[in-house]
Amino acid sequence: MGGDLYSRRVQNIVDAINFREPEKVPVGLEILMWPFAYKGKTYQEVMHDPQLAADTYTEFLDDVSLDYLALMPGVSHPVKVYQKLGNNEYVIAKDGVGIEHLQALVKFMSPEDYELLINDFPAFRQYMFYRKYPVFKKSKEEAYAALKEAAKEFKTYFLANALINKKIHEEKQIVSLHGPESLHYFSAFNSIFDYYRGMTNALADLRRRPDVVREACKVIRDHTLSQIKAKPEDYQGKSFPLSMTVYHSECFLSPQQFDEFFFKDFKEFYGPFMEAGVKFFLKGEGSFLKTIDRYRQLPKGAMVMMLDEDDPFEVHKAIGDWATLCTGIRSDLLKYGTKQQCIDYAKKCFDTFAPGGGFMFLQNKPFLYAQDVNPENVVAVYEFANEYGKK
Amino acid sequence: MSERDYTVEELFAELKNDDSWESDPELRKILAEALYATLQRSVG
Repeated sequence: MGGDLYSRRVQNIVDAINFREPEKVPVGLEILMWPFAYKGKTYQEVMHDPQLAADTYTEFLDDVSLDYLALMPGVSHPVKVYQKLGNNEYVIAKDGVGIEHLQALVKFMSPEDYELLINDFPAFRQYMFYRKYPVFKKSKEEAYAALKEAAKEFKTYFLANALINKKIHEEKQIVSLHGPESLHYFSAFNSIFDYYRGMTNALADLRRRPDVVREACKVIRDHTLSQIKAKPEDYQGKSFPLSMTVYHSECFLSPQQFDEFFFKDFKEFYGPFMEAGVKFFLKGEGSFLKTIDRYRQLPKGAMVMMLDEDDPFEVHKAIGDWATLCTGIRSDLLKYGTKQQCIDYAKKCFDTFAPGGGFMFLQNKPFLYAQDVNPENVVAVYEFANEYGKK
Repeated sequence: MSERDYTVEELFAELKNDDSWESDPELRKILAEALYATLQRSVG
């Protein structure tokens, strides 16, 4: 990858997350499917042709300059692949752009299945796999024919994402916050919440059968722990690329539940890595100001937090001296505000958060659908941020 | 499930050697492995 621009961008990120004022505040974006709609096209129109899909997706980068991208850009799910294998949980939205996950269609486990999860986790995962992809319950000939069709669809999806990433990182020299060596933490309860029981059932289980949930979480966390091969000493002084964690259920949990089901394992598993210098990007979802003080138990600067619904000025008061904040513009303002309102808000964020480092510019919600934001506001705000953030 | 006379892993091994869906052997292997990983990840 290399190149001066890329190196300068990395250096600015490293400075910002180490509480030094960078030459320029890193300006980033989290994008999923919205870029397809930037010039009025849809994913559905271009998905058959990887090169066309990549060209369409990256067109907005001619107008919006970025230093980094949070999380993984590109097509978020291989919808047609899943469908070929008999799974219809994911669909392309009515706007032809977004990809929706229809939890109501997911064949989640029943309460009785906790027994299998607890007693034989590998067998449970296999059981869930066949529930999710029923084609593999059919005869070998039928299953293989479907798999081959799925593989052809996968090629289109895979190549589109490869071309999108090549354009973003090699041509545009935009930095990815994460690399192959990045560590990942996903709480055991989030596995139940996202994959095994679904949002509604998982939260109900916390009230109806908390001890069973605890036991299941213990099995999942022990499995997770057994998969961690990295050692803190291998990460000595490696503050970049960032490791990664994400909130899904956390904004629905009480502070006590947050401690039990998220923070305890996070600190136990990865605290030693953070002591060695590793920094975690937290993709925050919902409101989490009420538990943000927990991060003071970790080394200063160990967390780089993407905010969502919390007021960033309140968060800054609570932890701005201890964690880097990725914030600066609200997506609802980008959708409904005027250009001037957007710029005024961004300016206030720069004026408050940039002094002393510990600030990276980022919106608060990912762009998913065609109508999520007003593209003119995006262009104006990012033009402002790229100029105003220079020393 | 007990009636099945194959494993998913066997199907993927076959997929890697089957040039009827992708003629480039290197790309075929990459795609088959990435597809397998994607499906496993999707289960959680």
